[in-house]
Amino acid sequence: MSGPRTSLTPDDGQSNQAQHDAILEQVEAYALGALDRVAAGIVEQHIRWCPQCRDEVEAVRRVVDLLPLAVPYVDSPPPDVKARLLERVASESRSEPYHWTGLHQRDEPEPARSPSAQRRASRTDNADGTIGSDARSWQRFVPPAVIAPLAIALIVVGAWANSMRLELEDQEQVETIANQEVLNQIVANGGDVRLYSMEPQCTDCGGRGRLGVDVADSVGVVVAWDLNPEQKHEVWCVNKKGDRKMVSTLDVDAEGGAMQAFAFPDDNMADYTEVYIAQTDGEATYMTNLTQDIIEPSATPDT
Amino acid sequence: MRLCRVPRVVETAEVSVEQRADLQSLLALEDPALMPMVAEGNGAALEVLYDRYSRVVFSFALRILGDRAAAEELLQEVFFRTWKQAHQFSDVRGTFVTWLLSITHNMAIDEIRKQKRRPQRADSADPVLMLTNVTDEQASVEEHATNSETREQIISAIRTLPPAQQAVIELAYFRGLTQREIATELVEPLGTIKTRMRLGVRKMRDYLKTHEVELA
Repeated sequence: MSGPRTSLTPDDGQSNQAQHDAILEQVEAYALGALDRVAAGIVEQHIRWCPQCRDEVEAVRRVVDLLPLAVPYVDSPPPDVKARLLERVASESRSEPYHWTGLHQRDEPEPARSPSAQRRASRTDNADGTIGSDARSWQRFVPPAVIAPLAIALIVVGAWANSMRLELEDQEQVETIANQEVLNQIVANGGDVRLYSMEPQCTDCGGRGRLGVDVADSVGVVVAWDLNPEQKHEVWCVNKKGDRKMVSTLDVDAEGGAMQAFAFPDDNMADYTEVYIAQTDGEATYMTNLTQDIIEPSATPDT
Repeated sequence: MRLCRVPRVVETAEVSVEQRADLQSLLALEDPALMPMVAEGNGAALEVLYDRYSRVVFSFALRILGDRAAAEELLQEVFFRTWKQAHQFSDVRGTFVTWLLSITHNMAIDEIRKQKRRPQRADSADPVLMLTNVTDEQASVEEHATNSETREQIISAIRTLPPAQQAVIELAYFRGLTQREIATELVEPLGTIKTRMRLGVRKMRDYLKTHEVELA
């Protein structure tokens, strides 16, 4: 294990204060929805344990919530909208889970799922009506409940790395902070999670990332940053025999960030030795050796 | 100052005497009293809420989506979601109308981000005008009564902001752009956009606090 073991808990002094101040600087943008996915993840994670920032977010949100009232009223909607609503209410059972799929798409069939994906989806259905399209894309394939601790940990590492790279030129310092954050999150969430680094396999590979694996459920989450947003990326698994299987594509945002959950084929992570991310043009590849995790979860973080 | 509600007559199609009596009794109820009824499956309670707020929701949705048909569809979705998830509403955390408009905002922004669609309105080229031109000559008496005081205060708060700060708030909230996207669109440094956004919201907040507007 090569990762640092220095903890960064909410009680830490200077580092924590810096994080706290950084969050307060972003509260307004967060309430307006103007942070990218990664930066918003930082704030969401922070306010879970920081009541002061949570209160500040709430106070700003109450101001932002009034903005719709400034919109000029237009004509009333046509009566048939109400009629269709009431007809729909009368015909649909409340017990059916509500899942908004966007305008003009309600009647379209869901994309075909693999057998393993169908099994997973049947175990935990996302019936809360959440509308974040980014999250939905991977929750269809991996049960949210299973990957929650993993996702939280990796959202944070991705968020921190992404934000800190803007402030720090020292890549090693960024990696250190990222590792500290992940370690704390893994411990805090009690997940049976292993964390791996993504090693660039070419000189021009500018990306960095982490792969977290929940061993018990054979699911993983990739968080990466500084990828080439112009290129398509895929996630592949390699088993002990050297057989390769593509498990997911990677949705890289405009800033080069990505987060993607995937399930190991046949629900058997133990059979696999490598995971790698490859640009579809073959120019850049990042490899993760599953025999060398960089951070081991610990019940007692160092202080 | 709290958002108040003025009961008004619900225009309904053919209804029975019993149904009309039911509606009349519901009209006297405040939003927080109606929501538990909606959660229990009372469609008439939902209808009352629709009549109170459909125009507000529709106007807001149209403002974001810039397309009347899409706004009508979103309006239906917002109230259907209200129907399905009424049990999640708590008036401890805010008023019903802010909860409803928050749902509207989330769904509309999600839609334009997903479809990479931007409103093609004549005034969309100048986001400053969109926030400052908030005169409302068409608002009904009822809707004025519903939100007028808070509405006037938030409009006044917006107008205290310099145009550059109004612009970044407009682009973020009504067009769903991130700070980085705003910087690109306005051809300004990212740090400048962050500062304008922070100062703009803080200034609005200070204004509302000074004028003793009780935030929902």
